[in-house]
Amino acid sequence: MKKGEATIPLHSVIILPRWLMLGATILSGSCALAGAGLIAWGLATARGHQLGGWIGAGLGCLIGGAGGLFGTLRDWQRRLPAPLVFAHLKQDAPSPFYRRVFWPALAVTILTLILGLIWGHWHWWRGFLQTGAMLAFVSGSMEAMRRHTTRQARTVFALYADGLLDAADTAAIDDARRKNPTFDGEVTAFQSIAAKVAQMTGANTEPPPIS
Amino acid sequence: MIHETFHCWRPRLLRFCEQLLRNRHDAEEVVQDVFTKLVAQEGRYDLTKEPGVLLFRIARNRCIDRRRKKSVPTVTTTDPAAPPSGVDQDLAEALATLPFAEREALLLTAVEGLGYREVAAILHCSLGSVAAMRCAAIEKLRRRLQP
Repeated sequence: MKKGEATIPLHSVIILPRWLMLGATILSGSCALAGAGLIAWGLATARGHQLGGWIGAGLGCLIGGAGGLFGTLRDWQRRLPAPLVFAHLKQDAPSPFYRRVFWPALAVTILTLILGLIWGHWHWWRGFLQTGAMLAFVSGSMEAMRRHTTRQARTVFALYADGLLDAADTAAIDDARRKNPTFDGEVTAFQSIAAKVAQMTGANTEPPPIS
Repeated sequence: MIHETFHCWRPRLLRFCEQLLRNRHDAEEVVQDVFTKLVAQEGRYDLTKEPGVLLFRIARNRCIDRRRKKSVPTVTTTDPAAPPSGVDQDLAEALATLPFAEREALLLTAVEGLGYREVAAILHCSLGSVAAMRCAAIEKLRRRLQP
């Protein structure tokens, strides 16, 4: 690594992907707005038992959407706690749930969609379509989050092992390292291999100044 | 200016390209191409500001072009770009098996001693991506080198 390189603030690298943030914000916000709309519509038009139904559905959407929106916006500034770094570093293989479920569920979704579009009779396919789409979405989202978290963990770990994190972030991880000898061994092994690679070609030398 | 740049940076560019392409002859051609481009387009590039970033970026792009054309194999045993004597042969072989993106991130940071920001500028990616690729590369090397 370059000698004397300036430290890198963790918040500049540890954020949710923009596409995920925007997608979740739009989805949650729309859900909350739809809930408010349902309540307003129910109050304006429905009477008796129907009113209760409209308000119940509206409250469900409103609370769910607002909760999702709150969680997503809070995650914008969330940092990965130091002890979790080590745990996520090892999760570099796709989860069994994703491996077993995603592709079959996606195949069922596409197949039933095509069958429905060609033959109609949606009541035949609806159950398969909804279940397949739901399972594909859940397993796919979980895998996307796993990949993102592992990548974040690698980023933090590399910056830490290279001594490029800010003092506060370094202190938090130092503490986790003291408590976990395995984690300490991982850091030492990383530094040792990085040093070996650097020595491999007698490298890591600054070029002569260009006059 | 280009003459001085050539003498200063040629050995490092050659080493980088050689490790990336694992072929001495191709690496020499790539480095030659880099400086030919600089001479042909003199005035377009400012060599006074971060010449390393500029040179490594051009060299890396040329290596990718050459790799696409020739489809470089992932592992070679009779490699003319074998490491010099005294070098850990296992490590060199393990390095050769790394994916291209991870290998170039590791070579630029560990071997060439460039900073994360410079490497991010060379590879056109974020600091986080450089760190993640470096970490993944070292983790793979470690697993491969474990007895």
